[in-house]
Amino acid sequence: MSNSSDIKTNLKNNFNRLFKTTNLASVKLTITLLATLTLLILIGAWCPQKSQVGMEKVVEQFGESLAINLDKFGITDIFHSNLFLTVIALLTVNMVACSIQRVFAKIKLYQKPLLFFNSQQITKMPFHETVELDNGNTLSIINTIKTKLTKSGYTVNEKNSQLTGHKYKFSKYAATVTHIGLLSLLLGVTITSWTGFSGLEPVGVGKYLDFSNADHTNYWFGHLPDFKVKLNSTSKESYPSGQVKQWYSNLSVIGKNGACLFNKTISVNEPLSYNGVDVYQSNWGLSSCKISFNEHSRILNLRPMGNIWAAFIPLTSDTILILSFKNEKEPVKLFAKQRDWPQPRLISQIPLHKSINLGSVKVTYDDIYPVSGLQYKCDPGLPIVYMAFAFIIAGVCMATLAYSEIYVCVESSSLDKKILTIGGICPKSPSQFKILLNKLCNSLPDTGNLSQNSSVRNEFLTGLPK
Amino acid sequence: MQTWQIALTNTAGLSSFISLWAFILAFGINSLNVWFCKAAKYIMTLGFLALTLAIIIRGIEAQRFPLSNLYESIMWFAWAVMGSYLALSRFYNIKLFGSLASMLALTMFLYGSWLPASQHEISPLVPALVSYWRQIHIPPLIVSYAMFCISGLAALAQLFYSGHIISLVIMTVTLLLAGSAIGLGTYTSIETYILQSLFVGSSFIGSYLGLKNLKTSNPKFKDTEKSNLYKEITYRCVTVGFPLLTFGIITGGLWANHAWGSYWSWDPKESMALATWLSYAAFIHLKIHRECKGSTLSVVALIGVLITMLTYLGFNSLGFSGLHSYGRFKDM
Repeated sequence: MSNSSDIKTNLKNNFNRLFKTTNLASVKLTITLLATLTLLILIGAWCPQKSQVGMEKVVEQFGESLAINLDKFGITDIFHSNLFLTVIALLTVNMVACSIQRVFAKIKLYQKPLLFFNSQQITKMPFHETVELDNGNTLSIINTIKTKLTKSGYTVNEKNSQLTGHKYKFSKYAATVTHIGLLSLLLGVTITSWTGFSGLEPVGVGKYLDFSNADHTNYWFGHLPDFKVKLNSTSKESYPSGQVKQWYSNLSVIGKNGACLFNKTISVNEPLSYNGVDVYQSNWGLSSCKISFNEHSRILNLRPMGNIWAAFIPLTSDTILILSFKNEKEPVKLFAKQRDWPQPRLISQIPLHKSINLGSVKVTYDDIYPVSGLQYKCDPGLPIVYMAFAFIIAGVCMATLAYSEIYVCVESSSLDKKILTIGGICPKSPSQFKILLNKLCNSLPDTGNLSQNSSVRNEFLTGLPK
Repeated sequence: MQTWQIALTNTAGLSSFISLWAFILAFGINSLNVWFCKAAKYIMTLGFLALTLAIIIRGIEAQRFPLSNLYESIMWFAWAVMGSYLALSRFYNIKLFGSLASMLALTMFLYGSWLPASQHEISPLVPALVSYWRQIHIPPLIVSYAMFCISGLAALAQLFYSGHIISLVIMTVTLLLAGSAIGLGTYTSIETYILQSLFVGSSFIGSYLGLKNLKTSNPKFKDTEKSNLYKEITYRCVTVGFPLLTFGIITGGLWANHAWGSYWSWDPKESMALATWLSYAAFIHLKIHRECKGSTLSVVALIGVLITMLTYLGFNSLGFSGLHSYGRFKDM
């Protein structure tokens, strides 16, 4: 038993020595790292990141020579740069060191009850008031203060002529809870990066999403799902103005034996979740169309042109036929454009599965092939990440509350009078605390002549008297 | 219904203008100080109520939660500024501080009213915004930005009462220059790299000089009690804004995960919000660090305001792009 306690103490001492000699638990280091990280993130927000938008966008924004220089210094991929990762690693180590040395170490201290102080000790506190009371008995004064403090939300303890009270004590755990949250977040992200996967694929109607092109990290211990997702149908909904309102895709989860295991219509903000894999509606488009010219059918690829999709067919050296599609339901519009025309001219429109005659050519609109942009991911660390989020929110909310301690002592003076000394600390809201002390003293029962001596230190000290 | 909404928004704008002048008169006429301060507070309360109604009416008219573009977010921001001041004045004796809050609210009303007409109109939502997460994610962020700006104003007052007049002037000029870059980016077609340089250059130089000049102070302006009071207000506003920002960032992550399958994608707006969070985390750590003086904290709070401005308004006006580009109203 004593051996294990010795090992524990030795370990603790070694940790403390290590943190002290390396300054790893220093708050100054935390602030420096936070400032550096802020700066790096702002640089990353300013410069388009090639891992997200491609190097072409960087060149387009800054010109070739500047873009090459930015790339050389790692700014075009700053979130994967050695500098950024080093700062994150240092901040993690600093957070762990701070948590072990300061934050978690205080938990036991917070659980201890407040000590009772005499008037001399109370007058050393940052805020204190001394009131001389003509008459009255000690017990009734203490009881009055106790009632008032309890009404104000204080937890009160009393011993003879002394009293202590504290409010929002749980807010002292704010840093601990927040740090647990941040460390859990790192754990969750690590689990995801080692076992999760993600990807984005355009899928046509009747085709399958099989996760074979999923992205994952080099150090990966996960496995890909043995089911496929079939796109049964997809559609686009628009406002009367033509602006996109929503995209929908009807999906079926198909098992190894070909059986349909699950079916759902997804849209933006409404994904499909099955067996730890989520499939999201990311974007939508029309990939191609089937058009027949005098019964000879052809598949034409479509190009996105803002809110429409179009196919271009050269008719002569200076005339082109443009087929314009708004969505998969509306008729195709046929335009002609000649070099000397300022704008294309509408020739006709053909509803789906109908034909028209353009001179001697019979044009039939046979079919249209929409494509749904499906994003997918498997995120095994997500429950831990969500738990971490809850811890972080709880921690920062707890930190909003202003913890305060109040100490009261009633002593008899030589002239058969009572001296009431009341003081305390409230580092987050000293002015409100000062008002509370004043109110408390002024609201004492009328016990005759009352002289008051108030003192508030200019320099706010958070330490308690020793 | 639209006429009512416009009339109520204008009433709120006008009330911030009148309350500003009432606070200024309170400064000038000592004998009527209390009366003018009271009047200014009542006028601001009236404006706050008018703006609350205007936001509700806009929501009814649009048949959705009224927070989907820059104009609507500015209405919310001004509402939060007025509400925060009124709440703070219940706890602290900070009557004249109301002049700064009125000025900030008025600036936001003017900024919003000069936005293009398309911003004032109620427009349909893009698919990414059609979600209940919109009303969970955005309001806390806007209110947190307002709280940080109020904390910045308190930091300016703290610098004044601690006698650091040179730092006060430097930081005020810095905020004005950064604000000008955002204003020019919103209403003119000046090249974005010039505006970015103006914002970043003034912020860096101003912050450096602001911190450096903290060594000099003018005892003529020193008022320790008021300096401590504004230090406390600066900190309290940050401690209210910080959880709201945290909640906003996290709910944004949850929304992104729900909509796009990734709770974090280093999108510029996300990154900027994280940078704001880190800067205020640094502020809170500095406050815990006992050696740090109130005036240093004030300058750090003002640096936080610069990053907040960049995150909130700079994203759209200084040429950033990304997944949050639906807040943009002009082509860069």
